[in-house]
Amino acid sequence: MSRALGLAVVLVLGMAFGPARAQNSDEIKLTLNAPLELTDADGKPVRGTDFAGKWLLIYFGYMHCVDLCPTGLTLLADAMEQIGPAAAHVQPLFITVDPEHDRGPMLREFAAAFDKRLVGLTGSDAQIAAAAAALGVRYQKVTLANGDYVVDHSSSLSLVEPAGRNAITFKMAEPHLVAAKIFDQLERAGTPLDNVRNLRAYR
Amino acid sequence: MIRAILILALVLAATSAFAQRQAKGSLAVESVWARATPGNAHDGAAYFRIVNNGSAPDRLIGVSTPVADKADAHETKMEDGIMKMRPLERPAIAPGQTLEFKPGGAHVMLVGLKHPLKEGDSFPLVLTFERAGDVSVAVKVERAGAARPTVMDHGAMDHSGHGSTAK
Repeated sequence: MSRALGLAVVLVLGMAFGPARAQNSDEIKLTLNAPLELTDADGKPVRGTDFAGKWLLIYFGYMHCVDLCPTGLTLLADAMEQIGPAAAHVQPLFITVDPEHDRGPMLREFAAAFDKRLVGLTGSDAQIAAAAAALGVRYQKVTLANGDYVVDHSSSLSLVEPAGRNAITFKMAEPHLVAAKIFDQLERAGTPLDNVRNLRAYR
Repeated sequence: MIRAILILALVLAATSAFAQRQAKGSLAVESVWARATPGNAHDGAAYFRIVNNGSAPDRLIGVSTPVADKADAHETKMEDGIMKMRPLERPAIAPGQTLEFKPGGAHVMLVGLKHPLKEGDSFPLVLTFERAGDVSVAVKVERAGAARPTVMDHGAMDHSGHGSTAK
C-alpha cells in the first residue's frame, strides 16, 4: 500500500514540473498555468479562454517566412477540412513569432487566406514569449548579414483543450494524421463526434 | 495539310514546354513554379529543378524577376529541432547533378512583391549562372502552400491525332 502511495507521489511530482515527455517523442503533453494572453490583429486583448468551449489548434509562425509557414498553415487548413463537422469544436489560431511586423489588416488577411476560420494573433514581445513557452515552442529572431531577418522557430502544432489547462504540442505531419490526432483528443475528452461520418477511417 | 498540322503541333509543343523547361547549353531549368501568396503578403516563394547535363560545374549566382523587388536563394534546414532559413550563397550544380528547389528545402524567396501571385498566373524569372549566363523561365503559380507543382502527364494523353512522340 505504501509502495503504491510512494509511486503515486513520484508520478504527481513528475507531472508538476513542466511538460512531460509522452511515449511518442513527436508529441509533448503540457499543462498551462494561465490562459494564453495575446491580442488580435487590431490590438484588442484576446485570451485563449475567450473561444468558449472550443479546442484551440495553434500554429506559431510569421509572415516573412515564405516556405515553411505557408506549408504549416496549409497543413492546418487541410486538417480543419478533414475533420468536417467536428470543426465546430475547434478554433484554429495563427500566433506570430514576429509581432513587430505581423499585425493589423495584413495579419488578418494573411490568416484568412489560408482558412476563413483561422484567426491571426499577435501581442507584445512578452506575451508572445509567454505563449510560446507555455506550448513548448522555441523561436529566435536572427539578423542576417545582408540586413534582412529571419525568425528561427520550432515547427509544430498545438492543441489546447477548451478548459485551457491541458495541451499537446506535436510535430506536423500529413493532414489526415493531424485530423486523426484531433479526433483522438476530442474523443478522449468526451466531445460529441456523432455527426462526423468517416470517423472510423481515422482511428 | 499534314505538314501544316505537324508544324503547328511542334510549335504548340515548344511553347507549352517553354513554361516548364528551359535549357541553355547543357544546363536545364525545369518544373518552375511558385506558390500563390495569401492576401497582400509582402513575399513569396518559387521552386524549380536545375539539371546539369554537362561535364563542367556551374553555380547559380543570381535571380531576378519583374514581379518582386528582389529574389534570393534560401535554404530551410532543421538544427536542434528548430527550423532555420538562411541565404543559399551561389549554390553549385556539379556535372550530372540535379539541384532541386522544393518546399522545406532550397527555395527562391521573392522579396517585395509588386502584386499578389494568384493561382493560375504565370510570371517571368531569370536565373543567372556563372557559366551558362541568364536563363529565362516562365513560373507557373500553384495553390498557396502547395507541396509540388501540378504536372501535365503527357504519357497519359492521346497524341494519336497529331503524331507527337513527346512524353
